[in-house]
Amino acid sequence: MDPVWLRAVHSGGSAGEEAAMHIYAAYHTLVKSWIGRQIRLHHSSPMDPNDILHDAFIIMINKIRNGESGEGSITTFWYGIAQYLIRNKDKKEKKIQLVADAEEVYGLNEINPELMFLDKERLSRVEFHFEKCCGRCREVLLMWIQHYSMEEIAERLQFSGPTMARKIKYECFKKLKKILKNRNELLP
Amino acid sequence: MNTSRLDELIDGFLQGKLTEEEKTLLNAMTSSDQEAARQLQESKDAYVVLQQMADEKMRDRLKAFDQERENARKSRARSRIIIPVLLVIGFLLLAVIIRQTGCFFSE
Repeated sequence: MDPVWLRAVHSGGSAGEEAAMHIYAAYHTLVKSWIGRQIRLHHSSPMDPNDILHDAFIIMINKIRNGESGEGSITTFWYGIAQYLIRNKDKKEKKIQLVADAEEVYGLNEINPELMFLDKERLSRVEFHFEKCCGRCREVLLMWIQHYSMEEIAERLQFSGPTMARKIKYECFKKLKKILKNRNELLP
Repeated sequence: MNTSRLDELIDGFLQGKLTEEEKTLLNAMTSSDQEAARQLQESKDAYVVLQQMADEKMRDRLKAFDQERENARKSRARSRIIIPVLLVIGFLLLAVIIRQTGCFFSE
């Protein structure tokens, strides 16, 4: 793997984001055509190669950020994740074909307290509500989650300094937790 | 319970930056104090949601990048067609002018 890009992605911040986009720009055509071939050759269910490409890339970047970059090249790592996603999707499609017609809505309105994974609609409601109530909080927290340093957050969002950025991040995270605690109210 | 220390440890845990020693300390704090355990769980949940938001943002960025590349490719393809067409039209016009004036570089 390219150690400079990997190091940058791993350390996060704006350099990390830039390095991630460099990786995408350098290899996406190659990986996309590989994904297209894999789908044509081995899988019957319809899949959009772009979706697989993007999902695999996002998973790969998150893994690199968390220090799991593997031994081989970036493309091998990306192929491996894409392969896994294709197989999973294929399995899922086959399962759905075997069973009777799927229910239109199942489980969407149930909230599993063990697993906080929001469906797309609920996620956008949370985001909308969060943005409406808490100004730049979303921006601060998204930067924090991408491992921006407090200095970088302060500089980019024009806070007085890293201590202020840390304080704002703390308050914002508290607000988000509160919104999620009352997430039932966000349902239509 | 030292709240700010707990917050620091939770932050470090969420971002995978804790040392073994700190992990043990956080574990001890959350297993002996229900409030701390609750805080850790809530923070984990919020972090997962934030990760989802960040992933969506990245997905939009990748789509925009692809779109930009696609537009550039299309505009290159268009210019590859337009230039020869313009050249042909130019030659035709020149031929018409030469024909009408009767000669080229005459007198």
